[in-house]
This record gives sequence, C-alpha cells and structure tokens, in this order.
Amino acid sequence: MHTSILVFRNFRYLKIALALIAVAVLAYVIHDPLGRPNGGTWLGYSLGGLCAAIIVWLAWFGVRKRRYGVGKLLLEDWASAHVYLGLSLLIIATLHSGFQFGINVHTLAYALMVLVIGSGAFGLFAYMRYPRLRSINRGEGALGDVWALVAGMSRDCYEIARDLPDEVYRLVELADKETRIGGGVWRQLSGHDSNCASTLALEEVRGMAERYSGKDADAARRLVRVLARKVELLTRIRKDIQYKALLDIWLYFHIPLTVALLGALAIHIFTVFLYW
Amino acid sequence: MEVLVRYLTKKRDGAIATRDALVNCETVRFGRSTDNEVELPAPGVLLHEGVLHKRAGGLFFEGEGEGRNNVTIDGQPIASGPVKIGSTIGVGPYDVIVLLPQGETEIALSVELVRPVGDALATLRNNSVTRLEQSAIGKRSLGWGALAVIVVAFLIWPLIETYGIGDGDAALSKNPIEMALETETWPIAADLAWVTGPVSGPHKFLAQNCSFCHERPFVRVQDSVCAACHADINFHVDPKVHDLPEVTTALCQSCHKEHQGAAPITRQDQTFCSSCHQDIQRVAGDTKLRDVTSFGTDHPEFKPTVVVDAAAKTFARVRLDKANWPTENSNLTFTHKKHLNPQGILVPGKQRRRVMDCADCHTTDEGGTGYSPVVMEDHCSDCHLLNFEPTAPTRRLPHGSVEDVTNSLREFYGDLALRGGADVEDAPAVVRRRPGGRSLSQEERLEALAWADKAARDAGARVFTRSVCGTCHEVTRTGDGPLDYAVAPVFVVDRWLPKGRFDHSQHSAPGCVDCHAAPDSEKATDVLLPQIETCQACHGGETAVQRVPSTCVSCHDFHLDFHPPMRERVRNARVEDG
Repeated sequence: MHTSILVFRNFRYLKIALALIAVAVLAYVIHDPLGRPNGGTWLGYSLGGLCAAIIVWLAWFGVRKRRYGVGKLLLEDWASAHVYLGLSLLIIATLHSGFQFGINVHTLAYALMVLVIGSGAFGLFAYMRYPRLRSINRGEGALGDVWALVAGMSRDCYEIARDLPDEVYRLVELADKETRIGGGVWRQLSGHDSNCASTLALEEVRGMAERYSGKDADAARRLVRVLARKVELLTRIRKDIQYKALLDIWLYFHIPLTVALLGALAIHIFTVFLYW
Repeated sequence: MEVLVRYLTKKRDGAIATRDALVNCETVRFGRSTDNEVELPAPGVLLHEGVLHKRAGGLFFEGEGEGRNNVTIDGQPIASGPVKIGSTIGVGPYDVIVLLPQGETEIALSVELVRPVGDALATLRNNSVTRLEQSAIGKRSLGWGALAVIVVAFLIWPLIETYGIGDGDAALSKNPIEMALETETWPIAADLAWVTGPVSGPHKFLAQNCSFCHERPFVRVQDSVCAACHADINFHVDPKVHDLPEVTTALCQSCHKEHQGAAPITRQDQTFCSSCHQDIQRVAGDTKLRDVTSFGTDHPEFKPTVVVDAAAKTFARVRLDKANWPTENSNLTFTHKKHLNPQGILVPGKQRRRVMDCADCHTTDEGGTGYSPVVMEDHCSDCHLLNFEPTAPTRRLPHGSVEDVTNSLREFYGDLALRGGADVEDAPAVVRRRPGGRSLSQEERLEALAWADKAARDAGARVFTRSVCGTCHEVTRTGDGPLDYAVAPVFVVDRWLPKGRFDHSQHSAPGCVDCHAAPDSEKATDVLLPQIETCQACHGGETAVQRVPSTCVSCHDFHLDFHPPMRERVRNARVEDG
C-alpha cells in the first residue's frame, strides 16, 4: 500500500523536525550572548554544526536513492526526513545566523540553502499535484497512441486535401512538416505553442472552407474537422509535456544549487576559523 | 491518343511492383489530384504541375506551377521544355521517365516516388523536443559550474590574494596609520567576502585589511593586535591585589566583540558589572565599595572628592548627606548667593547694578564636556579692581604673590614721594612740591622716602586685611614687619566626582540651578552637587521604561586609569608566545 512520504511512519520525521525547531528556538530565547546573537557563540556553533550535519545528510539522499537495499532506513524514510528536516533548516539556520545577513560568503551559503529548500518545496508540490493532472489529461490512451493518432491525422489530411486547391494543400503540408511538440525549456514549460503550424492551418483552412462550394466545400469541411481534432490532440500532448517538464524542472535548480551550497558551506566553515 | 502510365512502387524487400494505367487523352496532365492523367499524390506536389503535349517536333512539357521550382527536366530546374524518350521529368518527390512507347500507345511514362518524405509520425517526432534534458544544460554541469564559480570567487582568489601572490596583507605595516595609507582599495579585497559582519565604526579604517587583526590563520585575534593602538588601557582591578582571572586574564575579544555592525564594541550591559558589584564583598573582601545593581534603583549616594586642606593639598571622599554635607575647604571666601542676586550686584564706580548668571564665570572647556577654571583676571577683575590709592584710582595691584603686591606698593609710593606733586593732605612739603625743577637734597630725599614707607605700610594694611585681598582670601600676619602678610593658598578640585563621567554639554536642557543650588549658597565651602535622586529623576537602570535607560558604563569606565596598564600582560604573553 502506497503511503505519502508526508505521513510516512505516522509523521515521525515531522515530529523530529518540530522537536529540533523547538529546542533551537528555546535555546535561542534563553541564550543571552555578548553582543548581538551570532554564529560565533556557543549556541551559534551548536546550531551551525547541527545545520551543517543536516545539510550534508540530506544531500547524501542524492547518493542514497541510487543504492537500493542499503542501510536500515527505507528510501521512504530518507524522502520523508528530507522534506521535514529540510524545511526545519529554514528556522534553525536562521537562528544560527542570529538574523545577521550581509554581502558575504556566509549569507551566500544561507541564500543558497533557502533556494535549495524553495526548489525542493516546489518539487514536493509538483509531485503532489502534477502526476494526477497528467493522468487526467492523458485519459484512456497512452501517450504513444496519441502521437500515432496525430500522425494518422496528418496522413488523412493529405488524403482529404488531395483534390483541394494548392493553397489548402500547402497548409496541410505545413501542418504536417512544421508542427512541433515541446522545444526549448520555456516552450515545454509553457504547455502551448503560439506558432503551432496545425493551429494556424486550422484557422486558415476554416476561413477558406467558407469560400468553397460543391465538392471542394465538402472536402474542406472534412479537413477542418480532422485538423481540429489534431489540434485538440496536440494540445493534450503539449499539456502532458508541460506536466513532465514541471515535474523535472525543479531538479535543475535543486541539484546544482545543492552542489553550490555544499561548496559555499565548506568555504563558510573554513573561513570563519581561518579568520577566527 | 493512348498513354501508358506505369507506376513503380518499391517494396520493403527491394523488389519493384508495377501498376500500369492506360489513359486516353489529348494531353497528359501531371499533378496531385485525381483528375490528372499522371497522378502524383505525395506531399510536395501541386494540384496541377504541368502538361505533356505531343507536337510536331516531339514531346513538350509545359509547367503550370506557381514558381515553386517543383519541376526539373533532365535535372535542369526549368518549368517547360522539350522532352524525348529517356528524359526524366522531376515533379516534387517523383521522377517521371519518358519510355519508348510500344504498340498503339503513343506515349509511355514510368512514375516512381524516388524522394519520399518521411512519414508523418517520424516527421512529428523529429520536429519535437519533449524532455528537459534534451533542451537544458545538464544538472551536473550546472552544479559543477556553480561550484567552480563559488570556489574560485570565494576561496581560491581570496586565498591567493591574502597568502599567495605578491605582498598580500601579510606584508602590511603593523603601524595602523601606515597600514591604512598603504591600503589599496582596488580591486576590492577579495577576502571581504569572508567578513561575518560589518566592522565597528572606529575600526572601519582597518576593514580592508583582514590580516591586520587576523594575523595567523586558524588562530584567534591576539591582544597584541589591540595593544598596537590601545597601548594605554589599564586593568579594571590590580591583578597583584585581586585574583580575578575573569577580568585580568580574559582576551580583549572576550568582551570586545568585533564584526557586530555599528553597535559599539564596548560592553554596555548592566549585568556585566553587576554580576560582581551586586555583592562586591564576595569577589573583593577588603573593598570599601558598596554593592550596586542598577543606577535607577540600587546605587549608593554620590561620594565627592573634596579638599580637606588646600595648603597641604589633602582630599577626602565624603558621601553626600543632608545632615552632614561635605565642605570644600578651598580657602576662598565667596558667596554664590550675593553674586546671583536677582536684583543684580553693584558695579564699583559705575553707580549701576549688574545681574549675573552662571555663564559669566563658568564657561565650558574646549571639549565642551566640562568647565574651565574660574580665573581672577578673566572672571572677577571687572568688579574686583585691586585699586588701593584714592588719589590714583586707575592704578591697580597685581593679582599675585604677597611679595609682588608689597613691591608694587613700595615702588608706587617711593616714586610718588621722590617725583613730588602728590595730592595727599598729610604729606610733607617735599612730597607735595611741584614736580620737576631743582634736585632734592639728601635730607629732603630721606624725608620723602620715610613718608613713602609709611604710605606703603598704611596701604598694605588696608589692602591685605580688608578691602582688596581680604575680600576673597584668608590673609594672616606672618610677623611684626610692616608688610608681613600671608595669603592662604587656594585649591579647588577640578571634579568632585572623578570616577564618574558627566558631560555637561548633553545636559544643557535643564538649567544649571536645577541641579546646582548656587542661588542659595552663602559659603564658598558649599559642595554644590545634587544628590543622586536628582539624577534618578531622569535616569533609570538598563531596563528603565519611563526613565533614560542608563547602564554602569554610561558614567563609569571599566579600564581605570589608576590601575596598572594591561600592556604589561600583553608583553608577557608575547614573551611566553616565543
């Protein structure tokens, strides 16, 4: 039975994260350091050490998830802990900083951490939302079938347009040869193509069909119906690509930012002791 | 005429299938639609591409295309032209070859799709990019790239600049002024990215040179760095007297936290002091200090330092007590009350009164925080003229020693007697004679000088005892001689509360008399200090809500001038350091 990583083991990792936050906040409130609260007091070092440990452990998830059946914890443990401990860092690391921010490598590490957590939060949101929307969008058929259907319609269009004037046939050719799905990152994420050759062809042919009479008019109307159906299928495919892209895009931030964060974190720790 | 059109189709196994169509027509039309004799139904072919005529000279192909350059004849991109047996007419993806007709057939053509366009599905797939990894830079590349940028910008560059190429910070002068002058501010010091917080205001001139303070990597900032400038900082307690390591051996930076921004790096918190001073006996059993926890609620009454004996320059600290108020025994005779009379004080010789206020005598010093000493010549001599001879009202005595005064008297009267012309009733004739003319005989001179001596004596008795010196000073006889007087030495303390800091310039809003009861003071011995309750009317402790929050260091210094300098400790530490 599949359980969401959020409720995994009856919120065990949420409880751990909340406990960590509670202890950190309590210590911060009680602690009365010399000068402003900062990372250089005993509490600052403690919270900083805790944050660094959590960050490294969470980053290790990227390695761990590729190793199956290793260790005592299930992958769900890791994922659940990843979410809750990751979010808890927002509070614990802020307390570590003593709310002191500046233009320096220390705040860079903090900012990268916030961005990593933010991108991770989007990833969690995406995983909770888009797979369902994606299967609704796909409906009964698998996507491969839909692609074949679209191709079949292109062939049908040629057949129907064979005896129609060249102006129509040229549009059918364009709709076949120039129709593209997805493309660059932005086009995949946007889920539609404002220059879609099939959509343009549909609009044009629809206008031409009104001018024709007799046999041509019948064929043109048939063509419009097929093109409209094709465009509808294309819209669904593009929506599917969009959902897939949304499910993937956050990792393009989460992972590189994590690598950058680990670097900045190491430099942060190194330099505060270098210039002790 | 009869035309044979042979459609050739390549099968999957490479074999060629043929389908012959016989058509009867006048001209042979080429094109996509079904009304053509040569049907070319693949994409890329127009409805009507052209017509093949039979003419007298042979066959002729006449293109009908709309300039799409869709037709070639024997490889030439021409729309129309003669063709012969064996000619190839290219129409879009098709090649139409003119064959040798046989039998009744007049024209024979073979049609083959030689340049097929991809099928619709393949075209669509080729056109499409549906996965991010096909469009975006790889996640790993992005990660490594970002890591490289960060490591170079925030680690390698600063390390090289600080410890590597060139002089770096390490070669900077240890003299802070020279260092500041040597500092190059372009390009920005790379290790600024390592700064954990802004350097405090007074140290900002060091902020570009981290290594000035952070001398050695991974070693905390040493006291010797602070002592490079702050050489005259003294201990809070004498380490030889009190064994209090928390205040005698702690590092400078244990208390003075840098990189905290604009806030002062001196400790301001009350508990820093009260942790010891709330029960000072516990840490220093032999102290005379009283316990204190907060200025607002728990601070001993002020204990001014007053002059006990101005001649011997002895002082005592005496606590303010209404029943037993301390006295300042300065040997001056003075009354504030008379001088601050609201009706004014009579100005000698001018028949008018002058209303005085505090600032007529008490002027702020150059720093603006305290007051300059009151000086006879500057503040008193407008009224206290020091004249002594009614017939010579403009002559003044010097404000100086008794000897100076007696010499002045002798010289004045001696000169008057010998010169003559004195307008003094009981003087002998020689003194009163018209000046100039003949020279005096020996007897006359002696007579004149005898008069002069007596006049000086009389004037001295007047001046020293009553009207002039005695107005402000205590004058005593020191012998039987005519001018044997002594003026008691005057000594006034500079500050009654030397252990506290007080800035008069910050307290200009209340009037002087709100704190100092001068208008009612009739004696110079009055110590015109307010009691602590006057201060507490405005100032509370650190946590005061309706008073000015004031901590110990608002008035008191931690490092006390009268204790040994801390640099001894720094020096010793350096020696131990090797």
